[in-house]
Amino acid sequence: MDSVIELTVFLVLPYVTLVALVVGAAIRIRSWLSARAITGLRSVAVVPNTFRTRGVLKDLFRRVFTFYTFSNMETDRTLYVGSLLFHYGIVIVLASHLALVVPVPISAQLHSEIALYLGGASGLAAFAGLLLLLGRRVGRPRIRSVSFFDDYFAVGLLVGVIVFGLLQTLVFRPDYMDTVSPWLISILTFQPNLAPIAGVGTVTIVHIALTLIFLAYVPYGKMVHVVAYLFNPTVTRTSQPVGAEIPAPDSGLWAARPRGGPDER
Amino acid sequence: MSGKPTLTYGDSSSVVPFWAKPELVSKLEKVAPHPEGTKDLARDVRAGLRSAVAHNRNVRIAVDACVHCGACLDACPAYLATGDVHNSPVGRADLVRQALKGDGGPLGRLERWFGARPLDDAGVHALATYYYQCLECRRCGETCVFGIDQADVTRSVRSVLADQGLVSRYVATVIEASERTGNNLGLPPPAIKSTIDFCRDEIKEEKQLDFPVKVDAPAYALFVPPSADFFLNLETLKGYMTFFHLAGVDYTFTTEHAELGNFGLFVDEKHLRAIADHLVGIARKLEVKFVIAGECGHGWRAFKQYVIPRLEEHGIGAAHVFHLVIDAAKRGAVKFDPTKNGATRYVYQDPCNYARGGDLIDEPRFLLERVVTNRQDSPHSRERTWCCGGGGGMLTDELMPLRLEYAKLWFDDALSIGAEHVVRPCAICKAQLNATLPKLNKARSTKVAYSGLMDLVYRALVP
Ligand code: SF4
Ligand code: SF4
Repeated sequence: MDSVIELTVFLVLPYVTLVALVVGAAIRIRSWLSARAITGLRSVAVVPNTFRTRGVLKDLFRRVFTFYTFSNMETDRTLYVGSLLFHYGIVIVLASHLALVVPVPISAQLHSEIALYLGGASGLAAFAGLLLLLGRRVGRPRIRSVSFFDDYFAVGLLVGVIVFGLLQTLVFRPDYMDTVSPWLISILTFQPNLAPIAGVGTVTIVHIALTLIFLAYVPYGKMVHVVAYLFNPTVTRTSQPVGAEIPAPDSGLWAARPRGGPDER
Repeated sequence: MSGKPTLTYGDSSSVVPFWAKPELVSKLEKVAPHPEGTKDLARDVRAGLRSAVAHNRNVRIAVDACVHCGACLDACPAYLATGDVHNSPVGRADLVRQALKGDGGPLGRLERWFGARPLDDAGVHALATYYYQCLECRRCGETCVFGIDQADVTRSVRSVLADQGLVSRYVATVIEASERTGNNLGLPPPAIKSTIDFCRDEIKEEKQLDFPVKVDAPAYALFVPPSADFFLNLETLKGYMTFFHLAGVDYTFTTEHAELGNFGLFVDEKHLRAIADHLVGIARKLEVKFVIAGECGHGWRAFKQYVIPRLEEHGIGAAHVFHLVIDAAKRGAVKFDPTKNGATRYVYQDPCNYARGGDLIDEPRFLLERVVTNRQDSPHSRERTWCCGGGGGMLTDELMPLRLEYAKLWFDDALSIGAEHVVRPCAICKAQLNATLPKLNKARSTKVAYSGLMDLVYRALVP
């Protein structure tokens, strides 16, 4: 029985997820790129005076890293705080997971402490942010009225992923560098080897299973927002300046200067 | 017909624009109207939506990337004023998302299994109603972290509906007049000329300046104001004429395209282009080297984002009249006396299409600073400005209940800093303020006045 579950979660699911992810991403990106027009206008930039690529990048950076457009909302601050907590938390958590596949030149002791404190703290921040966002979605009628299955499904999965991740990091603290890490590398290098991960704890199995399901779902729902905005012409393209090249004073434009005009007075 | 629609908070579905009659639609679309009952409206709208979403990247991303965070609810004047979630950025877009769900194919079958209902005729009418309650103000696009601009979705959806003969009577009437006569109001050339002469007389009296004005004559530049300036905003018109005279601008009016506005922007690309290309054609016929735009928000957006690129193809330059006034003022070619506008507290409110789509934010401020002594920005200004409440083709009587609600946002904003005079250099803003300010002033026992910017330039200009 155990081996059936392990075979499913550690061998079948990873490759199903990989295929779903690649195919889904390809379909999505193709549909974004093949839509070429921008409703007949030269520029649809939403931020004024973005005439240079630098300005566009600066705003994009500010938008994504500071959520500044949420900071001056008329009535609601939970979105601002929740988004900051969740996204910063989850990005640090994700980055930390890289240590599973790329070797880090630090002692095992230090590694485990970083995982506990930094990983734990950012995981908790992400969890708190997520609860704040979910609470807002459920608790505020106007947000509830624009919430659909998709919105709860993705967030529900994420809650599961984070809870089981935190359980590992903060409570059970299994040794994953000799179990999960070699297995993950074996999967990613297409030489699957389930031996190292055999007999790993239930919490880890659930965390991995939920994560894989979540990843497989990413291209098909709202989670595409993570990359979709990078294709949005409203925030990624420049606008064109007007008025910089007014014909010179001695050109024909100003030639009808009245008798005794200001210059001669 | 039925009486005045009543607006209850949370449901704005009762305020519906009059729809264009088939005869008007067929004039506009240049196709015979479909005889009743021979077509499947919902099916055709669905097909149209699919294609709009597939072709326009800003629309595609709007449908795909939205996470239903609701930030745009807080930004949308239509939602804040009515509390109806369908009359909001994300709510409106979801009408489209729902319409596209459960459509055809295996995926559609799956979605239907999950409860998606294919669009029906009632759904089409809900779509049309709510999409004509949008001001196309782009406040949502500025606030959404992904820059999802529902105003462009509105333009696309209205275009799809128009293709099926469903278009606001007001917007269709204006487009028809514009394409037939060259201006939105249908003003004939003699009316335009006599208004110009009337203004010359007034300028002679008020400024002791007497000068000839070219109409349909060869000149270096073509000047194109919104047609409302020949009708409602004569002070603005006098401002342009006096400035051009004092600065020595060699320009002509045209009676063949006496319109900066372009209602095509509110409905579809086809009419946007047809109207704009007509203007480009007139500029080429007159062999001008430069085209100058007057005060009009949406007209400026259409001009900047569509007309200017076309003019450039023919080597013709272009700018807003503000750019020219600034240029002349910086050179000392014109002088202002701001005391001529009194000690009134002027509050500047950016027209949406200047601030969000027209890149015209600092220019009007530069001028206002020089032509009045007491000026302040509205608390919500620059890219956070509130729409006047008449944008997006909503400037029609049957939508007045909504226009009044929408207007309270900027009115309260202005009152909060003790405004005595609101400055909005835009033909639609001015028409909307003209219609709503008396009612708003009465309700609050205030006496707030309004004007454009060239009106104030006019009074301050030293002859
Ligand atoms: S702010 Fe943007 S992402 Fe959020 S609900 Fe509105 S359109 Fe969707
Ligand atoms: S364009 Fe303005 S009125 Fe329309 S949905 Fe966006 S914020 Fe609301």
